[in-house]
Amino acid sequence: MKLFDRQKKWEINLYSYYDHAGIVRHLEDMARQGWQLEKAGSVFWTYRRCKPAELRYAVVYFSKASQFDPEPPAEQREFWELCKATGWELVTNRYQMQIFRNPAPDAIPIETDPVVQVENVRAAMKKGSARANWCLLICSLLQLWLQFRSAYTIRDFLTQGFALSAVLIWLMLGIKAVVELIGYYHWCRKARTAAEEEGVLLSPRTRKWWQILQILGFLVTVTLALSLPLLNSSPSPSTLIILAASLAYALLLALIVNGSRQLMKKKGFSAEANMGFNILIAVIGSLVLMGGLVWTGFRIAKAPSLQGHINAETRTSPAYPAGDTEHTYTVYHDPLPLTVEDLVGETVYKDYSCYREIQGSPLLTEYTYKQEVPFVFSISEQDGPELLYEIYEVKLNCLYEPVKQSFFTDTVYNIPGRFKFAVSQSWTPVDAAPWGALDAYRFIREDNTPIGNFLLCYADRFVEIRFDPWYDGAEPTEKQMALVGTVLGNGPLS
Amino acid sequence: MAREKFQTLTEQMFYVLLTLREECCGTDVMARISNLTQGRVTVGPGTLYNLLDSFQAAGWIMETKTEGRRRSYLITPAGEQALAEEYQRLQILSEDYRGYMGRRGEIES
Repeated sequence: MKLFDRQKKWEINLYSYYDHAGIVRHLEDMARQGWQLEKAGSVFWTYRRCKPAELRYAVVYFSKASQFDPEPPAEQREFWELCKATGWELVTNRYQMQIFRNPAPDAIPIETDPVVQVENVRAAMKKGSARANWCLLICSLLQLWLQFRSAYTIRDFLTQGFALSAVLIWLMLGIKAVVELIGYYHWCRKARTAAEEEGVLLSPRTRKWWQILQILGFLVTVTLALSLPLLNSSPSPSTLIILAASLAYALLLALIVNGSRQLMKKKGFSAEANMGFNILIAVIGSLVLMGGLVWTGFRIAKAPSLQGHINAETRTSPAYPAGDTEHTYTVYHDPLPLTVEDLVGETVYKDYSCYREIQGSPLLTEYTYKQEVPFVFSISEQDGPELLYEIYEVKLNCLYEPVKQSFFTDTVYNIPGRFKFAVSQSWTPVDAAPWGALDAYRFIREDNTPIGNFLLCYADRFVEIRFDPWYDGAEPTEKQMALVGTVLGNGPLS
Repeated sequence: MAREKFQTLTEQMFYVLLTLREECCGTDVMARISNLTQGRVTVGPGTLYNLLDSFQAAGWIMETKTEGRRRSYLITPAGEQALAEEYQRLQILSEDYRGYMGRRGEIES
């Protein structure tokens, strides 16, 4: 993975932060090939063309250095001077990592006591890379817990492309942190013993394959995570807007946090002040940007056209009761696969709101359809019957049973300090044949009264249909059940 | 099992403390150790910097003067005691060696 220029070359760093021996070996190889290290970045390392030479490199760690230092502190300069006195010139440094070069083949090594060297690496890692990986792991676990906790059922989770994306990304970051930490602590324990008992420095195991895997994993995960919401059966403009807003959130936050740190370094603020401000700006920045994301969400929610609704209209009803404020509501005119008219023939009532919403992921798609009387304070005889149905289309066979079971699990809605209540799912089996389904269930109230809610299981989908309010306690006709089976159970959905 | 910090001194720790019985700066310490051991023991600048830092934190040496970026150090009574204890430990090892080898010599003859 090398990007070429005539005199310069950029390389992706494939070594762990504490792998001093691996980095030295690589830098000496590069010098033999005519490339001298110029700068060590967080991802890319820059090399400059030189005459091929046998150079000695040393990677040592100065634990007192910080990424927030406006200038290298006096102690660090003193350390460099001491190294210079033995012929070691500083090439570049990255936080605690200091990279030196020496043309003398018999130069005294910078580190000559393995015990001190291991302790030095430990101190630098404790302050830098290991701490960062611990933070990453905690954030990852917290985010995964939040994502799983916010979904009431497996259906909620699998149909939300953004939640799945977040889980993928945080899972990958968590695995990265765990593997890095295990590798480091394993080396550290063995290296301490080897240094103290045998007086030798154990080199960390260079795992280039892991670093390459990490980069590939990162690229694949990010691509997959970004495309998951778009792989929905019919992504609406709102999906693209939320995706763009989420990307802008991440980029802006990174820009604000890094920008403020660099600016404060330039202005000469102390490392402590810079770090304190950096944490503050990260917290405030993320809260403000999160507010922006929520605001975007609200704006989208108020714009039906962005959610993919065709010809939706906004109406205002007169104040009720008199003196109250007027009510604004939306009437939708989306196409529905099955309508009240299909089931019962022409009705007197014509002014329906027909709502369709499709959300999902490549694992599960949820279709929500509602044919409702738009906005009434009380149902009168002039109002038409309503029809509501949700269809869950399962894309992976192994998810069929877990999704099915989720319909029978009581759902607990809990917002700590606000409310907590459970919705019991009392379904009783009914004859599936008239519906053309594999299984059929009907919802039973707590007083054992069956109502007009049916759960129908087909080969690749589940249909939850509600004939409320006009079918409460009544049976749908055979013809109506067959039509539901043909259209919703086996027909194409859009 | 990890040993307690400075419970026993490594060769380089020993020589750094020994050379600091006379006030000197970091580069002088490296040169003195090399001369004293006739090149057998060398202390790298990184190791030396960390040892000076740790010894100072432990109160075994103290900073005496600063000239630009050159800082000079001198051993403290606590450092002298640590050095003496290490010397005694080495002496015990040496005596054990002599005693064992002497007895073995008698048996063999």
